[in-house]
Amino acid sequence: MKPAPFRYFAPTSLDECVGLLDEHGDEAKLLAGGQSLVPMMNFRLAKPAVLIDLNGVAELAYVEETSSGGMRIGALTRQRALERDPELRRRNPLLAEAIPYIGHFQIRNRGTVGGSIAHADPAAELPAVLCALDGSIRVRGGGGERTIAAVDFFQTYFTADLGPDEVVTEIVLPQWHSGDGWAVQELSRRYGDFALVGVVCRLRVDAEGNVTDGAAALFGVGGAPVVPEAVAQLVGTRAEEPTLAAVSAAVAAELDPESDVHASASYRRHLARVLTRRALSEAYARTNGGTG
Amino acid sequence: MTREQLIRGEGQFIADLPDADCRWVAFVRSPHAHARVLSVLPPEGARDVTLVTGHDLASSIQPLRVQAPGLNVYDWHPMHPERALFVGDPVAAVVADSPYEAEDLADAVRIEYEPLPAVTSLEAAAGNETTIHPDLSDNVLFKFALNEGAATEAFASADLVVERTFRYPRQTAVPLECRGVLARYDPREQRFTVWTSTQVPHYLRNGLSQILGVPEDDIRVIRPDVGGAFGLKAQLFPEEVILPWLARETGGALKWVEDRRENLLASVHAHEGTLTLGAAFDGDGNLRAVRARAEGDAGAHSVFPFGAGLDPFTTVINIFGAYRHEIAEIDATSYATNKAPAGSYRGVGQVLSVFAVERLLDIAAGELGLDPAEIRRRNLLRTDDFPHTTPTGNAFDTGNYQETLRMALARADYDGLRAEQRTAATAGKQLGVGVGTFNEVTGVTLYPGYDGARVRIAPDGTIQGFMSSASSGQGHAEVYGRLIAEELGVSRDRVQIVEGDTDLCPSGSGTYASRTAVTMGNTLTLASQDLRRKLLKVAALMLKFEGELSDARVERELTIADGRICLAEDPATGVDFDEVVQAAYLQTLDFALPQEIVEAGLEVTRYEKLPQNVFSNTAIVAAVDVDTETGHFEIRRLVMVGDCGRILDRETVDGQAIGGAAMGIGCGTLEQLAYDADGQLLTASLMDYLVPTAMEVPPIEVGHLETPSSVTRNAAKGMGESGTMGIPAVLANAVADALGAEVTELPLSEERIAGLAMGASSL
Amino acid sequence: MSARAALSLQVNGAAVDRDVEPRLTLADFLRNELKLTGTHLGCEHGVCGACTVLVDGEAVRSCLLFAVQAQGRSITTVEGLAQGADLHPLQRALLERNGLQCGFCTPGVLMTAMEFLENTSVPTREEIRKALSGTICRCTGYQGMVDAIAEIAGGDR
Repeated sequence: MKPAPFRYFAPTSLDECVGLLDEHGDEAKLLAGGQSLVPMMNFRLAKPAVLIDLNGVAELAYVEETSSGGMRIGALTRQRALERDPELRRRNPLLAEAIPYIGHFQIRNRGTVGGSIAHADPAAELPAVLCALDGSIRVRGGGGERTIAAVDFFQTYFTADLGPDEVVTEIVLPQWHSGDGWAVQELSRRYGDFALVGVVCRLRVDAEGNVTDGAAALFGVGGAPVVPEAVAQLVGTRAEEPTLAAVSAAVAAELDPESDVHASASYRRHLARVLTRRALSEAYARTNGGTG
Repeated sequence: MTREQLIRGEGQFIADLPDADCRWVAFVRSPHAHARVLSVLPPEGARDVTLVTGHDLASSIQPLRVQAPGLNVYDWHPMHPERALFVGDPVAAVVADSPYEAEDLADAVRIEYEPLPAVTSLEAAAGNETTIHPDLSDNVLFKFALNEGAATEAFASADLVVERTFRYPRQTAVPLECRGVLARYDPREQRFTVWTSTQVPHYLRNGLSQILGVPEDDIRVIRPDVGGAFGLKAQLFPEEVILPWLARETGGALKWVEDRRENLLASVHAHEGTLTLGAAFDGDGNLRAVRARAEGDAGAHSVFPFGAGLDPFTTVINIFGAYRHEIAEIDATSYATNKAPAGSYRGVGQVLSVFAVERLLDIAAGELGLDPAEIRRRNLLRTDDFPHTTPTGNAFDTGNYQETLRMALARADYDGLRAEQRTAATAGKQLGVGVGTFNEVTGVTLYPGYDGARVRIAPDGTIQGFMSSASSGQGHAEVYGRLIAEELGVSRDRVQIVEGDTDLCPSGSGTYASRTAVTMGNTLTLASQDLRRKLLKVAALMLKFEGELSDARVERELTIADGRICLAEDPATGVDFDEVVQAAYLQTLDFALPQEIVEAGLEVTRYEKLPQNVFSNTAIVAAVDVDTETGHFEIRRLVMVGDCGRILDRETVDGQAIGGAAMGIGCGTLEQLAYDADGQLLTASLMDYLVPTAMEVPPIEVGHLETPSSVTRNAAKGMGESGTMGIPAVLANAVADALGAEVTELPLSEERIAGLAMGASSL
Repeated sequence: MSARAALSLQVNGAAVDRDVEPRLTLADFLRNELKLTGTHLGCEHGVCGACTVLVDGEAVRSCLLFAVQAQGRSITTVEGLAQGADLHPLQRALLERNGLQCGFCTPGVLMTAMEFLENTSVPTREEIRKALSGTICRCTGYQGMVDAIAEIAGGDR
């Protein structure tokens, strides 16, 4: 399990990086945290002829507030840096809660936000958070800069709307509405493993405690995160049983998960229903109008 | 290495051995489960490539014919000259200057295969549509039966008969250190030196001698530090043959370090099989007769030295061993399939027998309206049953199984758990309680089953113990050193232990089947006691004893402690240990030493084989909280009370108990090798073959009872596998108890449990 | 930029300069080039944690980092823990608490715990188990390790 030979480039600016991508395109791979790519290279499942190491592009590591109160997170920001950011729980509690589910802390020490997004693992947390929160992804390439809504970006297994000459530069999250409730629910075979199924969600209520708005994203249930339409059925309710049960059953019905060595499609659908109900219930309890 | 050296990172594991003059070997492995190898060509454009195939190898080695009772014999080739028999089977080997370049070369070797139909299940193997070994037309590698028909009448007349078929998954030990071999050939001495990460250096030397066609004395096998083994490294592997053979062919030193993918694909697997188990009870819940039929999936080969019967034979021969019964009718069969060969993994065979027996007892208890603890109390052997011989011929010396169970139940507050179960119910959460009681076969006397120890005091007073065992990280050297130090009355730090070098150590079995305390420890005690008597006799002469110096007399009249040998009746009169050693070697004495002392100096080599296997016993109680919606469960309490006779070293025993229990949690809940219908391994990484992390292992509470063995000299019974064999069964009982459902298959995945909770139909 | 790259870094406090092939992992660089064989390889795909070292104080898998990526960094391996004859207190605690058997995972456990202890005061056993969950041990059942880390951290129990 030793990687095949490659040519190595370590650009120090985004411009240089984009230039290298333009030059090497298809035969190049971008190396960020390396926590997914390097295992594949060690297994020789990936044998890029050219490796462009982003780790020297310091301009891509940042967490900033947008003019509209949202967040811009640079692609090279380490997951661990977010986890340690004392402001994150206030700025975006859902993201803050989801981060520690990514692997183990040694993985998060290296793993980056942009790497996780570009890798587009359908069982990963960050893509789902972006989808649930109407986030977007900014990329740059030879053709300039593009911004893609997260729900459009993730296409299928390990495949995103990202050209061979493009690099993810940042993710953008809209402002977190204080008073919103949130939840992360996932089940994995072991602590730190990829989820068999996971759910992230956000709910907003009015002064009477009726749901006015909300969204969820499920992961591990197909090729890309799924943002179920049925969550909208909670609007106008207090997210009580039997509504919750009906909504989570409707969510599960929207899914088309696959079977693998860890779980069958039918168990994944079952789990999606159970975890969706728990997540929505927990999120509601955390709203300022919730009973919790 | 000492533990302090290990903790400094100064261990010398196989990959760490100096290798400046080594070239590196990489293997090209079959991507097909079953295929004819049509051609093997070097990389395009490559010149001067060292590339060897099974064909090359076959022309200068003898295939091995693994033999043992019940085994069907065929030719085993380290690399088959014509066919690949499983995914990962080595088809060719290449040599390069670094591990990176060796892999590059292996990647580029061009091989043409003709895929053949693959046999990937017991059913398909028994169905006999495809033959894996031409000599074995029915794919049967092993067959054994005992007491055929003996239980028929007892079953017909029983008040209650319960019978179920239990399935155990395919698993593998995953020692954290993979395997590895460094081989040198000295052309002047015509001698091989093979460093390998093994548990069985002497077996290896024997197997290599047979295959390479050279005398055993021309092969030196050395075991460096071993980073865990758990049974996996107790067999002869193809790479251990190919490296020395190739070292001789190429005239240089060669190294290969297995990577994790190879380890999961192509070392050995274990445990997979089915057991159809029946038990006949009278109306009071007393067990009368049992009937057990095991079938094992042995994979592509019968591996040396234990052969393909290992798991299923061990399953049936130990069936219901801890419980009173008069009749046992057993049989076991192993089939060849196109999967990695089956070898050993902690809990051999008994993982399945304990799972099935303990589940079946709970099922019977349910039928009889008995509490699971009560049916065990009624049937466990009682102290006055010992010595006891089971209907399958196992002989037990001593035991207090009832007390072990009582202690475990008390410590876990079994009655309190049951009371909580009756009263406190939370929606979606169920408390389950599981009990299991069993004994563990240790110090197996087969193949060949003896061990050898040489204990020596050098003229400078250094004490060395040379052992036939080859520990793989259990820390046995500490225990050996203390045993010798105690017998010789010196401090522990004067004793050095040497293991795992066939040139230096006496021949013997190695380290497996929890044999260390009992067979190795027994032999070491024997050698140390002999050496002590030599010392005592020299001291007696120095102290001017008159008359005959019998063993009994010197043991009676002298004491040896704290580096001094003294008169028992007058401790002030004595001689120093070092004076005695000097006297024995330099003989600057005013009297002549008798020939028995002069001969071999202060050195004793003894070999011994126990008259019978030795059985320790364990009781386990587990309490689990099951989430009946997701199928996830948490272990709330896990109490193990073991009785391994006299405890030689508490820390080692606790380490084995808790470590074995963690592995049991893995075997019971996570570990499963999965092949698809084409024979592709779907779990060839540690992302997919799941072993427990610290988060999956709750606090494990360990208790001890010490009922001395009457068979071993040190009163110890072997231990080390009880947690691995017992915990899957007890967790299954606890989950079944929580759900009121039957569990007959492992592992206890969330999906399996959720399915049971919902009555299986909805998943 | 393809064949070999110059590399300068600190390892256990000493400056090291080498030319390396870009594909050489940091683990193999430490083991093969510097003969620091205390860093072990147990899986080479980032699961087992045996190869964990500190890079600028952070615990990372050295099998998933190329040596060239450590340019200018400061690496600490297990060989850097003891001060001559004196073991690091955590090493001593692991010895005394039955926290190792075969010793193969031990270096990774130590380096993982070093960062954890640096960043956590008075952890619970649950937090210690979480921190250890990225390093696999097949021998001990982890209990001795948790005890040792709890002792050093002055944690509960």
